[in-house]
Amino acid sequence: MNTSKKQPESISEMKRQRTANKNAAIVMTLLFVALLTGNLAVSAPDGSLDIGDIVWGGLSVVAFGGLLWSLYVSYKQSDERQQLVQLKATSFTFMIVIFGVVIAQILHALAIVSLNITVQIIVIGGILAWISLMKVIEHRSN
Amino acid sequence: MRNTLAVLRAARKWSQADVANQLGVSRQTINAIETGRYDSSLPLAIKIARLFEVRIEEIFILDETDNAQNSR
Repeated sequence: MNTSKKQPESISEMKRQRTANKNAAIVMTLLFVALLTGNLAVSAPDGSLDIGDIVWGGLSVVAFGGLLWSLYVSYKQSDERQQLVQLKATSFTFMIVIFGVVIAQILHALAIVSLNITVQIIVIGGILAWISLMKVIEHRSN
Repeated sequence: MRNTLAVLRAARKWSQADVANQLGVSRQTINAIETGRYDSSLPLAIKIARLFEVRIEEIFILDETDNAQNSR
């Protein structure tokens, strides 16, 4: 069967993509604001929390909460094959992240790396791995 | 598992998007089913059969290789 990529998308898929794009824009804005606040917040020399730290922490939690919510909404609006693709990508990413965290803990125990920074790298890498895996699985199933 | 979805769809001159709209799934899912890269769930198979007004067995055909794999 010849399936051109120019074919129109179904109504349900267009609706799902619109919602996903809208949610992505909101989450990206929140993440950007949290990043800016993090840059502006200057930690006190004695290590005590000031209002800037609290605002930055709160915004980061809200931004990542928004990310999880948008992923959940996208999952719920997907059809059964798309949900399968997302679940496969999630399970592989879970394995990668767990492995990364274990390695980071070992390296931290050996005083080779800072756990704080390594966890941040694992989180960002995990998100990128999840997106990449989803694209690969989606491509292979089409 | 192979299927006659593409044949049935062509007979009605429906596009993949037309079928996808009526079933509430993405066009890629219809394409994946037609090309045999994805086996639909039973509820979706029933919806497809109802849409084309045929029995499920007339759309989805179990291959001998599928039987051999399941009996292992």
